[in-house]
Amino acid sequence: MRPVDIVRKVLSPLQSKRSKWWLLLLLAVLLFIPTHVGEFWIHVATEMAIMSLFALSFNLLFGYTGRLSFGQAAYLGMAGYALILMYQHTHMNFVICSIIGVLMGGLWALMTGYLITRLSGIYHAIMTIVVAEATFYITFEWYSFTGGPNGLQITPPAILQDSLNYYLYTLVIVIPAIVAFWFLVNSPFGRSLKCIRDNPDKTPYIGIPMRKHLLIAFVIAGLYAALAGVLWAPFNRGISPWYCTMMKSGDAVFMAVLGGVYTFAGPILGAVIWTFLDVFISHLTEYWPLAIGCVMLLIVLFMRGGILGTVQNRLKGSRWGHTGKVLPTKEENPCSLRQRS
Amino acid sequence: MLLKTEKLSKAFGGLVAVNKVDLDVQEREIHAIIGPNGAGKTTFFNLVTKYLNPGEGKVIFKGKDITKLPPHRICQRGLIRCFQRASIYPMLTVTESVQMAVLSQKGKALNLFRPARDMFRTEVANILDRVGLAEQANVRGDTLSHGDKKRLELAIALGNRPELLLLDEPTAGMSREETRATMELLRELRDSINLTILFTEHDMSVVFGIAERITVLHQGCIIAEGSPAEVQANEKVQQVYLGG
Repeated sequence: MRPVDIVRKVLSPLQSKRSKWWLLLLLAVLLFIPTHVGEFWIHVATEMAIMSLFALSFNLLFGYTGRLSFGQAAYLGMAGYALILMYQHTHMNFVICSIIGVLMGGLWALMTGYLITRLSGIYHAIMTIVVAEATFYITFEWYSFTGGPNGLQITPPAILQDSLNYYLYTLVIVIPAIVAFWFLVNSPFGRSLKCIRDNPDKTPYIGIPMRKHLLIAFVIAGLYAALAGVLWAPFNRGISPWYCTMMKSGDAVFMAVLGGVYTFAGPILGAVIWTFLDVFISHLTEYWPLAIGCVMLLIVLFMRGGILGTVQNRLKGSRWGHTGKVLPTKEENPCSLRQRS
Repeated sequence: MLLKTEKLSKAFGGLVAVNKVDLDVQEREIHAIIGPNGAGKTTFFNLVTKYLNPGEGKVIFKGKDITKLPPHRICQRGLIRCFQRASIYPMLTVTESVQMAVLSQKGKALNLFRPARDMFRTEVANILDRVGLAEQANVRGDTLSHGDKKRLELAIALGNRPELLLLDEPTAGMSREETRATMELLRELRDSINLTILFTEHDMSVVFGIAERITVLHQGCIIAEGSPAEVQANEKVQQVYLGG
């Protein structure tokens, strides 16, 4: 038996009706494990879950729509700031403040996306960097309101101060969000985004108002980043301007590329591995970015589809890899830097 | 009159690519536009479908002025075009591509919740049967042969329920066998779904094989128009294009 066959056998339940039971099992593991591991690993698991949303946010734009964004952190940061400011100044219910935080992140995505989605290729990417850096400078310089470089601190309500409770709270939000993401990318709207990714010149000629779809996709991506933000800020007990930068956005890019951008679960897997590497290697050496850089180099050079993309390529014929190739050929690479929009 | 252009013009710098073209296309007509390279055939298509903005003139479709409409609105009204270079979705399967056109035509493109996979399956299967792509239904676009890509593009166009189909060299790069099949298909479509077809082509056997009316463009101007026999007999056309 070749290794490929073994992997195929292990993954085969996912192709059948039994996949439901496997997902239930996964859910049970997610709920069961943390009660039996130490506080430290609960923290790590929470971070993994939050970062999954952040990576999915990036991938909606890159993997599904073919638009490169280095600015998703702007919406994460904006939502975190909005949550903390609302919570501190109005003393409203924590959950309501979180919802407002998400909406503020979405609003920021709508405002900036209106400009960004008019561009494509390298100009789109640069514009997202501009927005991220602008968000950074606004939060950095507006001392009286945002606390400047110190950022803002928050103590979540007592019940959420316990790590396990916060982990469960995170799961309650993250799991439905991931399920919703699955429906989104498999819906007609999700299909239209793939059309824009594959052939932006053609797509208006099948009757799709491209700019509108791009803007909606951008706002939804912003909302996912914002959702990650309102989970992250209380988890981190605060937020600072550095969570709005292009550097932070780069984390989402790396996670998605690591796991596989043209797959549904790739960015989630990427977020899990990335967080694990971050925690694990930073234990061993202070030069952990170097190790992560090496991992990225290997992925980019030898596993262009990311981990899951490469696995799917090897599993041609299965439901996951039903179309055979996961990566487009060079000529058709939707991420090549086109100038027409 | 299904499509009518009035003094449609476009200049690129000093070069007038399309010069005051008045063209009428009747319903249920197979109409060819021919002319040497650079005559402005593709530019004319681009102006009609708003791939390019016309410099001057009007485009009237089904009695309504569509000159100012964006491409997707023109498409929603039933004027569909295919591109010269088979323009398809490389990472989507044949079914998925055609399905998207059907979804868009039915106004479901903004549906965010239902899996697209299960929607309008019979419509899609019918179209694929019609163009002869049923066997490749689950194959990715980029793995198709060139001829099949052209057919896929036609299938996508049919998914949008066209009334007028603009085809830019529908048989370019096809084998003789595929060319004949495409010609049959176009004629069959006209008869079965009352399609009007406006196409450009360099292969004269195709043009004189299926066109009922031919317009000859030369340096952006119409120099002749009429039935195939009339055009063939026209001296000016022989001089500039048909080569005697």
